[in-house]
Amino acid sequence: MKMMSRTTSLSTILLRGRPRTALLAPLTLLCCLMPGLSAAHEQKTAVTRILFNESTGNIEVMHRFFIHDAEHAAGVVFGEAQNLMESADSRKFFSNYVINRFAIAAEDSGGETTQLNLEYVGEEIEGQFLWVYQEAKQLKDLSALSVVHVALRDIWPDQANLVNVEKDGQIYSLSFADSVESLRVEL
Amino acid sequence: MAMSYYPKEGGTLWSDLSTEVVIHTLEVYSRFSFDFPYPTAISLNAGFLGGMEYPMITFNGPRTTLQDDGSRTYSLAEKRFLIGVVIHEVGHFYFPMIVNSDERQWTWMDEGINSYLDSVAGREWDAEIPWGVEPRYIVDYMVSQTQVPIMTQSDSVLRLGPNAYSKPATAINILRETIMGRELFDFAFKEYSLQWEFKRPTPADFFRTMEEASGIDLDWFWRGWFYTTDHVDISLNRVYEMRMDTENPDIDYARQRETEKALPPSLYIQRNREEGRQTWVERNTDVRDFYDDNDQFTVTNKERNSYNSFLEGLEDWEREVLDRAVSEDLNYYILELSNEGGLVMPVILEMEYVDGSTEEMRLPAEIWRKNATQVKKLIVSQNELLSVAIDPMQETADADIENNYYPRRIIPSRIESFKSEGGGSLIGRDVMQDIKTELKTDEDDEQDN
Repeated sequence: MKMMSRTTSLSTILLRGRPRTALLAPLTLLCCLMPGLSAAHEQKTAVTRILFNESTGNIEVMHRFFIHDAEHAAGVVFGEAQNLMESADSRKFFSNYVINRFAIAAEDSGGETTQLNLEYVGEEIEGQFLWVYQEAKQLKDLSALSVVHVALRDIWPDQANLVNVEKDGQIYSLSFADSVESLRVEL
Repeated sequence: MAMSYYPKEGGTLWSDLSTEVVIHTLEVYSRFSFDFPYPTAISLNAGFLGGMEYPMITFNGPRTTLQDDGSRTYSLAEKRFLIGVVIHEVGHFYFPMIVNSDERQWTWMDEGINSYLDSVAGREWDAEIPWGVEPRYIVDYMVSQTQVPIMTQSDSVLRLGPNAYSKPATAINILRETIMGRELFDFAFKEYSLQWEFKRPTPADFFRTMEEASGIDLDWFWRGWFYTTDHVDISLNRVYEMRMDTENPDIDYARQRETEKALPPSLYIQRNREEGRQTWVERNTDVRDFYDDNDQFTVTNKERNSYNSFLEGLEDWEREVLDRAVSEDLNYYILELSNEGGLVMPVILEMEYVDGSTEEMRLPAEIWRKNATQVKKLIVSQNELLSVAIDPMQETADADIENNYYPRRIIPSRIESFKSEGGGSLIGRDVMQDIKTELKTDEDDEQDN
């Protein structure tokens, strides 16, 4: 088991070229304005799988959200008139929301860090779940990943996101809960 | 009396469905536990939240969307959400409002058990709806490295959703469908409900009652699913094919000759033949001798005499067994299995034979009793085995399905499958609204242009 360290600094990774602090400011305000939700049926958990697909040479990122959690989040993010489930456009808006709150920085053995250019692939609904897909080209000499994941967590403080990085038969789990916004894992 | 309270925003989504779902839930839960003892069961529309339970009353969120033409519509997903949330919240009338476990200590005892029963009620409401409760959906959580066991006091639980809802619900579903069977499970679960209604059960009460009522030792199951963070991953590593030696040289030597003949021919010799090159022996037949007409598999009376001596040395019952085995001429296979995930579970095998037939074999979890990591299983069959699959219906939450097949199969990644299918999903469409769209004519297209 390799070491995992947690980083709470907001300056280590940029999200789509914007400083994280700038992104989080309006969202924090939004969060404060929300009434306290006491919903026993909402699970407020999401799972992200990061796979290294050797046959395509891509890093595949698959986010899985509970639809009803995502729907309510979308209602908060986009306003009452927006409903995630009503149209493909709404789902794309939600996907855009997610991919702007998720980022990966890859670190090589020399310590040089490169932010992955995660391309949007699409989204689909499966049962009670909404999947959002991204992918990026794999980098050579990869030694560590730093991951930022604040999707839904900028809306609900108790949202917890699990990220499983699957590489060479090993699973490295990153748990985004409480105030953790960025986590690093050595591969 | 089942009732629903909702504003106009609830629309037909509520007028047509809510109370029906309340009644359905009471019927299903009562069948699995006890008759609902109170006079009212209420579903109330509270649009600002997902769902919340109280004794005899629930708050449920879904509403309709007001369209420009004044009508109110809802998507298929919204409909499914309403059904799911009403079932779940009404289910809490039973667990924990009546079977009054302590949610602050053991959240899974009401949320997990209720999530199990709401999945039963959901599938009995409409089997066509994908309820998302299949065991495979818990795999990502169960393989993660940052977990605590279900049996963790609630204040210390990490990731309450999968820990207290999904994983125990999956475990109990597997207990019913795969481990105990419906008849025994349903009887034991009803016993638990009846013994503990209006009382305060703890986890040990649930575990003990399920075992005592069914007569099944489930200690291994509670240990693996509730007290550890192990996951399910059973791997089929090798299948060895064997054949019984008859000791009769006229049979065994001939088989050994067939086996050698079945090997691929020498590439060098094949190419020499393709070039028309004859060997010395073919060109000079005078050098051929006894060994060109007899090989190492040629049977002589020396072997036959030895075989006859062997037969004479057998007891009558041994001879009978041998004769039967020789005449049956069955196929023998040894399956080499390993427990990669740590959690012991039954091994469900689907065997496909050369003649096209298939056979299911369920090996109970006790197969791991003497060695929890490696085990071998002998399969004896009249048919010749073609392939073997473990857990073909994906009923055990097996994390890695690539090692479930022998020979191995290519399993595409989720994103690759998504791309190959063209991507996207049609399920979120508001068909109720879209169906009002008028078909465009050529004239309309010209006007648009």
